[in-house]
Amino acid sequence: MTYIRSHRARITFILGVVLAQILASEAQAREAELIISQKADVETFDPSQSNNTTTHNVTINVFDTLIRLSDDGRDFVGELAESWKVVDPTTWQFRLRRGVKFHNGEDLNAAAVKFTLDSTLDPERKTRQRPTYVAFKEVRIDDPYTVSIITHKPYAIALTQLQYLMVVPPGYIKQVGWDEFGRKPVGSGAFKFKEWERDVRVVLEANDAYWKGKPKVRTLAFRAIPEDASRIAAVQRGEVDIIDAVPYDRIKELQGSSTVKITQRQGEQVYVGLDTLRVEPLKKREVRQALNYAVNADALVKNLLLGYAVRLNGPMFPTTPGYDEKQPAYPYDPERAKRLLAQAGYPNGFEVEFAVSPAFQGIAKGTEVGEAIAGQLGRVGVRAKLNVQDSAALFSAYSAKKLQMYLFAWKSSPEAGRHLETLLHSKTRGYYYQNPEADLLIDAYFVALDPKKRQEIGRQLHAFLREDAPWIFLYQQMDLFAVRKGVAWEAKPDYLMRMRDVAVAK
Amino acid sequence: MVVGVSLVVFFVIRLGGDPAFLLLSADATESDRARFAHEQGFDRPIHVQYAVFVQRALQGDLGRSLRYRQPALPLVLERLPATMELAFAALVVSLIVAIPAGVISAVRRDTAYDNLTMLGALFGQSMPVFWLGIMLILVFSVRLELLPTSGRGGFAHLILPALTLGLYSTARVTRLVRAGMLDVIGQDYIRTAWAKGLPDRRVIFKHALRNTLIPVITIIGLELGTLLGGAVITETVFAWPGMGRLAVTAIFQRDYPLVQATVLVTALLFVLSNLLVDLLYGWLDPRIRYT
Repeated sequence: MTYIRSHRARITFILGVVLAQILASEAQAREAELIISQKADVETFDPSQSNNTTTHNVTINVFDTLIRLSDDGRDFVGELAESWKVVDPTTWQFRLRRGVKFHNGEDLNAAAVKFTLDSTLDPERKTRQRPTYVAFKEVRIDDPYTVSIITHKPYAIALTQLQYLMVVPPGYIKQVGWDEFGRKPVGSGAFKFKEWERDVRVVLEANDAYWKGKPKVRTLAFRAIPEDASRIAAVQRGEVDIIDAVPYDRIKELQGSSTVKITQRQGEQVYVGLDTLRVEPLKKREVRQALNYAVNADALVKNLLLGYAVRLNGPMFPTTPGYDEKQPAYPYDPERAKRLLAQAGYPNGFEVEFAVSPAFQGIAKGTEVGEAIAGQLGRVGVRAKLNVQDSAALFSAYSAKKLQMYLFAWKSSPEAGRHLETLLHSKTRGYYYQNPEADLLIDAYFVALDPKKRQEIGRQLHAFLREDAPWIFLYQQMDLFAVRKGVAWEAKPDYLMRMRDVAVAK
Repeated sequence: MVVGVSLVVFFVIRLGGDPAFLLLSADATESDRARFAHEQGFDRPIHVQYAVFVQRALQGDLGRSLRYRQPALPLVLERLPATMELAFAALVVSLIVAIPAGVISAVRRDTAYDNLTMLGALFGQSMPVFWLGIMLILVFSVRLELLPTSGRGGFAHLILPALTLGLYSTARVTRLVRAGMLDVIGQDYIRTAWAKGLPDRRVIFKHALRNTLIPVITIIGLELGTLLGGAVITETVFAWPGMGRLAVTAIFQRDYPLVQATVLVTALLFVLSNLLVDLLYGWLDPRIRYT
């Protein structure tokens, strides 16, 4: 018996040592110098086939765009385009940088840019990105390194829409076809594609010949970790260097961390949409203004979002041309709200259905915000019946014009104000708000090519919409990222994660 | 059964809302969405859609994933090895723990050991998988820094997910083994063996356990089927690139073809493992012969 015991003990000991070795070596294996973990995996490497920011964050490192948004979010700087000018109201001419090559040696020139936009708009290909570029009519090659991009009618936000156009190599694509290109891309960007194991990892390696200068890290990898807690554990542990979509309730814990810091950038606008066309009380402007006075949005920002949000005084974002910081946001004034309601003929308030989705388009704490708002409205007599549903169901109801009051979020290029056209113009959506005066202002806003004129019209538009209150204006959320200390990266306002100049301290 | 599953999946997923919203950009207009619906055939009557689906499925074409724009079936099959690895690991873990635990429990019936084991089994079957997975990550990865937090890699990456996924099976099999053993131990032939003077160990392992295992193996086979299909939560928590995780992503994206493909493959696997178990059972128990 004693012999067997020690024999067993010996085996256990040996196994234990071997196991410890395996574990130790496994835990240190990293597939790249800089590793980013996002909530989801890249969908495809074909830029025209995805509308997903998560995918764009990966592809922006493999491809280049013509222009990009400046760090303060208000202007554009050239990338592949050295300079540009507006030749006539529908023609934008870009002079391209010379000497830029794709990873396979192909030259990046006007033909490549034309091919990129043409193939994105090609009705045969049915690309997912087509709606984004629908305002563009055609591309004309003026000379080998100059293109003119022509719009159907004067389009003030042409640059905003073009900032995400990633230029693809026509030669390579004609050779291997779009499907293969989507799996094994060739671009002109700071990093070259190395491997992609779906849902496991994407690995990119530095492009030493990059026209801006070679990247500061040799290898860049992306991992998809869908579960928030696991993703946060991974960055705390140092397995990954940057993560996205940090939930608001983990902020306090990460703020106190010695290894990880939080960085933020502007995110979506959260507002409460109102059906001004079919719901009696909401047809009246005074009622809508009353709702704005009844909601204490500052408290929402402070208590639910821990200050990581910016109060908005109207439907524009702070970086949208025409936004007037001097205008106050609707203050919390329940007495005034009650007065307005009485004036409008609703001294005892009214009932309304309030649709809410916990995470619609990235709203943080959607249910809590919805509940808080319903409570605040209740205090002035507006009885909001909460109806919590999931994102896709909410959107279906929204498109079918079934909603009366709904918590919504909009994420779109703030500096363009494009959402104003999409959401509030009677021709584009017109589901819940149709106002001819607003239409006129919006139309003028989008053909005003001169920046000063655009600001002017923008200010008018913003003031008008603030008065007319088609929504209950709330706030702009911040998108939160957690970054390992020692990694020099800050979130940028254009939603993209360009990693060329990010260094990792050892 | 597979047909039934396909019918249910086909109709239920379409109740959940419009995939166009999730796939096209937020700026897309109504005509863009209508065009998308037309391209995918969603504007045809539902029974026509189903008929087309079945016709193609029989030829091995389960459609194209809306999100990835690649054929759905290969996408699912690509994930099969990862799910099988996890399911088998979980099964192995559960067997290594459950069989000895169950045996000892039965032999030392009603002692403190037995009671503790049964209590443990009760917890194991009631514990939420999601919570357990995250707790394990927090303790063993973040605090103790012994194991990686997530992902598929080598052996170390397999430990926590296998433990998480295997817990329910472990608990279940422990109780079954214990019950089976108790049943067998009471039989005449065991008493005969003891009377013959055979050593304890031999009686328990060679005679009692062997006979207990036959019905237990049936259950284990079913467990495998369940593990293959039900690793959804574990795979999500541990970022394991398996079929369960693919199914979850597809459902949230309303990626109909991919959801259909995943569920069908899972159903088929379940049916197959059942079949295997039936055959195994017949082979192991000489009293059963299929005529």
